[in-house]
Amino acid sequence: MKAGDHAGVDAFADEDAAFAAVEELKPNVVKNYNTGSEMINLFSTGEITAAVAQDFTLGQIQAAVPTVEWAELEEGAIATLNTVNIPTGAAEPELAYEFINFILSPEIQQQLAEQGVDAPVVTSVELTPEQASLWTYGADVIAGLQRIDYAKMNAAKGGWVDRWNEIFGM
Amino acid sequence: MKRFAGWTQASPATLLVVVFLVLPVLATIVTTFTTPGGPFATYAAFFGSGFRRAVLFRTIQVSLAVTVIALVIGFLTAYVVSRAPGWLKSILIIAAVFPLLTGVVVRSFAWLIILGKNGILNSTLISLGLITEPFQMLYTQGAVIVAMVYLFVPLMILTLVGVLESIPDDLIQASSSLGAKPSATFMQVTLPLAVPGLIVGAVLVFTGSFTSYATPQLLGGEQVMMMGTLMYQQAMVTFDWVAASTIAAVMVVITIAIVAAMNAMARRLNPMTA
Repeated sequence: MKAGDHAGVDAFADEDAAFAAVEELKPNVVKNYNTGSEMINLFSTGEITAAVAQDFTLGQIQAAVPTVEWAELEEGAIATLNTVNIPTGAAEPELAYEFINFILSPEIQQQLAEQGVDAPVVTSVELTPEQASLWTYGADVIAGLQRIDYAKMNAAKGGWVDRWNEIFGM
Repeated sequence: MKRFAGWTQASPATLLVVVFLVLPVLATIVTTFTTPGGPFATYAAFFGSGFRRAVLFRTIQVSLAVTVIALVIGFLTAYVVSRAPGWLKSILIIAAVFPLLTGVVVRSFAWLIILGKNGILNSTLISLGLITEPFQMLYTQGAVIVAMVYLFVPLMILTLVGVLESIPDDLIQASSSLGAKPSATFMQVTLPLAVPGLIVGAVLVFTGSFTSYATPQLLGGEQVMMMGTLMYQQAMVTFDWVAASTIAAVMVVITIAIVAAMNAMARRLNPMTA
């Protein structure tokens, strides 16, 4: 979708132009990573010097390579969401709801943010500027995020993954 | 009656294989034939995609290359080991199988450190002044082949040592006393008698490389996608379990076909059965 924006088209309407823009990146790509830890390893062994990454990995990357810095996107960072899901037919849905309430309680949210686990989603969490520097935090930052239409993207995903494979895997 | 008794004794093992291997594999294959698009729609989609054909071809190519290289290295090593005196033989066998004591992921990870941009090999070449810029060795087909050869040579050595040791010394002596040069003895006596071991080793290494996942994932990435990593992507990234099952079915059929071909070849080459 971002490649589509780069090429000046809507990726859902003009896949070819969007994937042509993806292909421009290929000479600079060492590896497409599947897990955050894999990407952090690539930093620590010096295979890569830049990565598209999520904020929760920054602390560990800097622990491996202190000179790495977070670059803000001019158009705003892309919001990726962590979700907690209850499977259909779960045995104890009430307990699951209680667990979700527990995760979302202000005290737990405060601890998760302070201990470098993940960014808070409860507005009452207060962080010092130093603590907040790791996270997507504060009304201005949140308002500037780009949202992704996951329903639309998931519908297109199968075909897109194939085209992605054809670019990087042939 | 004797045959029947054999089956009775084997029945717990047979039951285990049927329940935990045959039935799940059949269930996986059945799902690929019961899609809305008709029984062969998923296979048409698989073989209709140039990318998937390329992955399949690459997987066969890598597995064959690994098998051939492992056969050569494994045979030479096993030949030396089987001719060594007792105490040295034990040491050599322990050295050969030592890598098997650690997991596949760890051994593949080691190659990340050796072949990396700042890895041992590149920094050695640079400090020797042979190259100025590091080679890109990771995420190439060569890296995957090298790591898999390293992974599978111990298996090949173990298989071949047993076979080479079982060749009676009398035959070798008979051959040379009848005037054969050492090279002729090797080509006409030792090698043909080692064929069953070579085939077992080749089957083990080929099926192991063909179905490998960790090594191509770590050292190949998307640039060197193989059947195992493609199947993972279909199952865990796009959640297309039918497509993943199709890949699994294709892998099962090809593995059986190649193992059958190797067995047929063994029967033809083996002087004991021919």
